[in-house]
Amino acid sequence: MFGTTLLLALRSIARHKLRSFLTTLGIIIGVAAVVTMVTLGQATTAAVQKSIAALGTNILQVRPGQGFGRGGGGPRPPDFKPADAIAVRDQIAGVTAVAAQATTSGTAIYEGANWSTTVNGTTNAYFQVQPWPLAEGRYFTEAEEAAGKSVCIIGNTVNTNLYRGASPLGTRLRIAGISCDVIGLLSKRGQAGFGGDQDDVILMPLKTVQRRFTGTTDLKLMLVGVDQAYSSAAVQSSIEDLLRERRNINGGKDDDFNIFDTAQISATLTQSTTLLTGIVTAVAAISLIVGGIGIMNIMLVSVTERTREIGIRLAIGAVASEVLMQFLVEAIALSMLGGLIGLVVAQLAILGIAPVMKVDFLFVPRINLIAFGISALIGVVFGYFPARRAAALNPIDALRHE
Amino acid sequence: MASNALAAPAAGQYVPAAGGPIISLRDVVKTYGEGATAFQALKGIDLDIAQGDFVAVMGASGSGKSTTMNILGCLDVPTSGTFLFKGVHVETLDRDQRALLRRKYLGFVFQGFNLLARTTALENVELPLLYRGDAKKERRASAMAALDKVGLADWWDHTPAELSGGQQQRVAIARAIVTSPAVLLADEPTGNLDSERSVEIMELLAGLNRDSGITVIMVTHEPDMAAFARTIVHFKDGLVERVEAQHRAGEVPEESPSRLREGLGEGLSASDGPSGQALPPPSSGSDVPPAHPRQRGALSTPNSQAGGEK
Repeated sequence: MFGTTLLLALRSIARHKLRSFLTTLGIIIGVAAVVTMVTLGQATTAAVQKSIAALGTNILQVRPGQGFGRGGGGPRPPDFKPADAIAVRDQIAGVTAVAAQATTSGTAIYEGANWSTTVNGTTNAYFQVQPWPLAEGRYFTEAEEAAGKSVCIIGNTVNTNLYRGASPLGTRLRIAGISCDVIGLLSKRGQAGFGGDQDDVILMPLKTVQRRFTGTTDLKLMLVGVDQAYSSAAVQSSIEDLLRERRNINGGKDDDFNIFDTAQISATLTQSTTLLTGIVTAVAAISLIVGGIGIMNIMLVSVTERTREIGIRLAIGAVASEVLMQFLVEAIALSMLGGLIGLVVAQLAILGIAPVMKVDFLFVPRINLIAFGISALIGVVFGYFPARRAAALNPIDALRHE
Repeated sequence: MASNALAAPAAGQYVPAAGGPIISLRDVVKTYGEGATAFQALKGIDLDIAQGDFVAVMGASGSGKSTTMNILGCLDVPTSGTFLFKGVHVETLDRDQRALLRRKYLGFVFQGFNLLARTTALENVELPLLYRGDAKKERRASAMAALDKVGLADWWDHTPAELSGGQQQRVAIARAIVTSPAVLLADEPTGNLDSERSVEIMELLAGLNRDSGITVIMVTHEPDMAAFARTIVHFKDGLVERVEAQHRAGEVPEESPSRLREGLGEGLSASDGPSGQALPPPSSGSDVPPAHPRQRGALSTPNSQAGGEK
């Protein structure tokens, strides 16, 4: 009996192509919207996570001062001392390495080309905390670090602007009046999650920067690597306690430094993109429901329009349940057809939009399956009422219907 | 079980055939509405219809003939009284049981043809078989055979919009007989057709009745059409006014047009001119182009099938 019903339903759909298309339009749009939104949301989340991962996971950034942009009055909080970095490294369990960092900026010049950039003074611990492979060349040697040699590793952006992409190894460039030998080129990392260009940098040994540029041993930043096995929150709180002690912050006074946990930021950002995706998906889901109501409307109209047909079917011996099944199967087939078309439209939309949003094309099997399943369910739910109405028709009245 | 199973009823009085009535109504009352607004459409009908009979139901509108037809077609149930169909109390059956009864034993022909639009003749005829659950091959074969019987085998792939009124009605008749029903109910089958087409349809129905032994019950307003029947039941004010036998059992209408005219004369005392022309020689009554000779053959030589399919 089911085969018969399916055949009747498909025949009816094929016989009324325009009506069938209009009926499914709502479902097509709904399914396409939901799948597109969820997929783009996931692609965005993936992109955010990727750029945060580029900052290094399991890294605590420790800076003097309170958070971002909270200057306020009063004296500037003091920078960290080299001993602070050593204390953090040696006294706190779960710390793999501490990369102390001193930062300055200046104009780099090479053979007439010049480029304004950031100079980070750091140690090889920097590469331990956040792995950053070299495109070519080598890291600092211990002797270079200890002696504060004038050597540098340059970022991709600097290389592009000073060397037009040619290999910089063995050359000597000038930064803010001092010259240094280029020993390495960093691999390209791309945009950071917060808009900064991570490749626009020149790395030099910490001592070199302190001696030749900043003139103090003060540290502006400590990058603390955290062992995977330890909770970054626990390590963070240990560092906070240690630094409060070392900086003599007593009782209820606020910290005059801040610790920034990239894992936490990653979690927060992921949470907010997920939330946004959820909201947009909810809106799209509403359109799916509207599509379902559209199916119900047109099926109801179709039942009225086909009253005579139903009368004929009943008169020649269709039982009520067969008429019900026919209309129900018709509604389900229509909405599943709409669902399928919607999925195709969604993939095309994602292909078109992803490059504009600068995210990668993504195919998420789960959401496609769910959306398709929902479209079938909508057929059942919104098809049932018109189908029941058709089945309940009195054959005599139905036959007399004009 | 062909026409010879029928006993010739005495004039003016209806006598059930020897095989017993296939349909038997006893004191059937049908009331619409309730209380003060209640309307009694049937006021106690007693009627027997013999197996293999060809019955014309006549009466003014409001006389209760349509209500009776709905009850006979198992589309409606009486308010009170009994309706025996092949010995089964139809009034006790529920909706779905009546649907199954219709599917198995009844065929319907309507005034407005009631074919499914945008659906080929073949698919229209197949429809009852679909509900019966026949396999595709048998369905095709039975439907083609039925179309052949009404002379439209060559038109199987035409939709109703591509067929003339007479052809549409013949497709409808094919649909009604494709299941080999016991009873064919026709509600003013010629009401929408011109007189030539009407005669063709009536000849077709008469032939089916004679050759296949199908009991035909037909509502008509036109005495010309009623003349094809063997029995005429007159309705008036919700009651059977009289049952009139036409002494035509076993006779072939095509062979005795004079007798037909005689019959017409009784029913149509003050008939105007066209009534005489309403019954032209059967062979001229085809609305089908000569390109389809088979139809003509099917209509003009029904005798070749005498003896029936069963």
